[in-house]
Amino acid sequence: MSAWRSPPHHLSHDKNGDSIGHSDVDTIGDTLAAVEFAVDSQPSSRAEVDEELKAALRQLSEGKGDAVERVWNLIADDLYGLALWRTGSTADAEDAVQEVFLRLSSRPAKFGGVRNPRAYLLRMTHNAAADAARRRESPMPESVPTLVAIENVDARIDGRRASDLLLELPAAQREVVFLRHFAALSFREIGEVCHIPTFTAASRHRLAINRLKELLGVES
Amino acid sequence: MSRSNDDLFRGWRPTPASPELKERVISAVRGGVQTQPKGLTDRLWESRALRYGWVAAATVLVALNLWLPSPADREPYLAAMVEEPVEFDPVLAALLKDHLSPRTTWADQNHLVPVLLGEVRTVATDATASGENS
Repeated sequence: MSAWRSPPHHLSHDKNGDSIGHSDVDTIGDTLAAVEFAVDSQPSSRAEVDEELKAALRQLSEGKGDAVERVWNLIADDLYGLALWRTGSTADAEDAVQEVFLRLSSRPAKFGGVRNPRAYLLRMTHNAAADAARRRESPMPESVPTLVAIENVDARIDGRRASDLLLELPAAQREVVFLRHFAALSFREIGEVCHIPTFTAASRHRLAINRLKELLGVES
Repeated sequence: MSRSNDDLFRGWRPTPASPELKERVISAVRGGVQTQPKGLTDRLWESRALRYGWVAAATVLVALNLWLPSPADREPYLAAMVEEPVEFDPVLAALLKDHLSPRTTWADQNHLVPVLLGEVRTVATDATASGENS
C-alpha cells in the first residue's frame, strides 16, 4: 500500500464491518504491532489520504510540477497494484501506471477539481490496464507475485500460493477484490471505477472470495 | 486497509510499485512537462523577434488608420447624412419647430419620427375637440 496499510488483525473489523478493539490481545508482540501501526501509519485514514491527494492535484493544476511526486507517493502503489492485478503482467502494469501519470501531467488543470481523486485515478488505471491487456497478443509471459508479506503480522493464508491462485481468477473478479480489500473502495465506487453496476461489483467480489477460500482451503 | 468482513489477506499486501518505475515515470513526466508547447503569451514575452513583430504590426495598424480615408470621406452620401442640414417641408418644419435646429441633419430623421407622430396626434386631438365644441 502506498501511504497507509492494513492494520493488525485485532484492529480490523468485526463481522458487521464495525471497528473493534479486541480485548483478547494476548501477546506482547500483538500489542507492539498495534502501537507500531498507530504511530507509523500517518495519515491513517482514507479520508486523510484523499484530502492530501486532492491538495496535491490542485497544486499540480496550478503548475507546481513537484506535486507529481507527491501524487505518486500517495497513490502510485494502489494504481500499480490495480494494474498488476488486472493485467497479471509487470510490464503491462508499469505501462498503465506510466500512461496515467503522463496523462495527469499533460492536462493537469483537468484534475484540479476532481471530487473523488482516488476513484478517478483508479478508473483511469483500470482503463489503461484494460487497453494494455487488450493490446497484448501473447499470453502472460510470467507468473507475477501479486502479494508481498507484511512484516510482523501473522498471515492467515499462504500468500504466495494465493498470489498464484489469484491469477487463475477472471481479471474482472481479481480487480474487484483488489479495489475492495486494498484500495478500500465501496462497492458503489468499484462500480464507477470498473463501469459496472454496484450489484455486479458486490457479486463479483463474493464469487471471487468464495472461490479463493475454496482453493486455499480457508473456512468462511 | 481491508473494509471487508473477513481478513483473508491479513499479513499480505499488494506488490508495490518499484523505485525504478517511480524514477522512470517521474522523469518522463518532467520531460513531458518541459516539452509541452508554450502558450502565445509566453512565446510573445520570451521571443525578441515576436515582440518586434507585434510592435511592427501595431504600428502599421495605427498608420493605416490615420492614412486611409474614413468611410464618410469615401462616400459623399454618408457625409451628407451626417453633416448637411436637412430642409424639411414647411408643414413638417412647423410641427417640429421645437425640435429642430440649424444643425439638424438627415441622420437625425429617425429620432424625429416619434416626435412627429406625437405632434400629429396632438393636432388631430385638438382639431376633433374644437369641432365638437363648435
